Amino acid sequence: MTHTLLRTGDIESQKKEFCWLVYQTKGVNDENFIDKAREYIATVEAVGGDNWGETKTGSILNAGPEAIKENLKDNSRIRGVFSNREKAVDFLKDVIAKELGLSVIISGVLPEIAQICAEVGIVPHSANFSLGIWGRKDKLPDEKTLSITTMCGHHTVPPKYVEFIEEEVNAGNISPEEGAQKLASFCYCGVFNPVRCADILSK
Amino acid sequence: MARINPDKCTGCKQCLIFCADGAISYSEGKCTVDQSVCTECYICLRHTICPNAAFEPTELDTYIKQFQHVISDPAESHGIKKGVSGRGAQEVKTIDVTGRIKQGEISISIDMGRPGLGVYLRDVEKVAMALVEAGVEIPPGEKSPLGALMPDRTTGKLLPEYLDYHFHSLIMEGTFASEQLPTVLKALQAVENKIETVFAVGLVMHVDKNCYNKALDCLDELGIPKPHRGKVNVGLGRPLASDGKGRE
Repeated sequence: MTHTLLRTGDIESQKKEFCWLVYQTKGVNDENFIDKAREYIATVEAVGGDNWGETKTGSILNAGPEAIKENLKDNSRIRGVFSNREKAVDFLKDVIAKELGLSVIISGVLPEIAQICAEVGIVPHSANFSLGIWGRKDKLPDEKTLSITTMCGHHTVPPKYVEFIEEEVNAGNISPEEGAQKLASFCYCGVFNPVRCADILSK
Repeated sequence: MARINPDKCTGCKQCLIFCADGAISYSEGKCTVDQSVCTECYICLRHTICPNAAFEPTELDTYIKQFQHVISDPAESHGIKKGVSGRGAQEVKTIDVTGRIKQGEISISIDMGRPGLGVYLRDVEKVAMALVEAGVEIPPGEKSPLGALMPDRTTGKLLPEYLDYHFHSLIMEGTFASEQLPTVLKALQAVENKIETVFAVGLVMHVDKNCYNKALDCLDELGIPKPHRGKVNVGLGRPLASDGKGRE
């Protein structure tokens, strides 16, 4: 599967968020990639990306946006997350208008993605369908913890640290938003959604 | 791998919650990293998780230790695509321009050990053998990192000396005709109870305007819920691939 497909938890919560990924293909459309990547990033910043990053440098929540932009390489991979539908629609409208020609992926709940594709006037090409988790599911953390750790599909957010942060929030030592920022700092690539995480921590 | 310098460790146990693979333990006043569990993901080295900076890297002095690190650390490059971070999976990322998957074909991606449990190669081998038996072709080492550990791709068996190595996760891909999908999924249903970890299953294929492909109709008969999540290539890559069959 792939790291943005592992998300679990309340389906209504999942419907609200859309991960985006942009890929160049070597020898096909990678010429001037860095300039193109900065254009995609400009769109993300304009519509209000809630987190985004590049794995080798980090995310806006740990490395900061300027470091990511400065460190872009010809083989960089940029990706992030929007915490509502409107942002995803605005992102697609703008990158369609810019005609930059890189492959764009939207990851989320399928009917929602089909709807936004229709709204912006594009026909989706292909998909990686998640058939879920198989095997020893009895060994997984509890559902609340899993709904947070799976927002970093690379599994760089440790479950025991999530449980510690949950305890800190429940004890009133930190706010859900502060807890979400601490957990998000462990995600290198930028698809961890701090808005959804704070919402989950507050329940 | 990472080790905890015993001269610096005060036994405060703060680090115990930060290992995603559960490789850090405490005994007799000191914390240690269990080498048989550590996946070389380097999370402990990237973050300030010890107030006394007791975590130290050690040399990755064998092929398999380097392989472990490259696959388990998402910031590392695997060598299949020079300098690109990740585990070498192709899945749906650039199909619109590469045409890697044709109409009527399916690519399966089995994400072993995700979410969150990690995987020993002995369990990867069991699933690989089941896939090969079902007719899935595992790509060679120059196209997929796992292929480098599989000397005979007609069996799915891995190099026996590496079966007890632990990975943060490991991805297995293969392509087949869409008519084979029920056979492949039945093989996975048969093997899922024979392993000690989890895996996540993804199916890559062309879609219609509703983000659907009729090949998924067989899921009902197999008792597998229809997918509600997907990673959709929205077709903005240029130039679009021409696979001679057109898009749906």
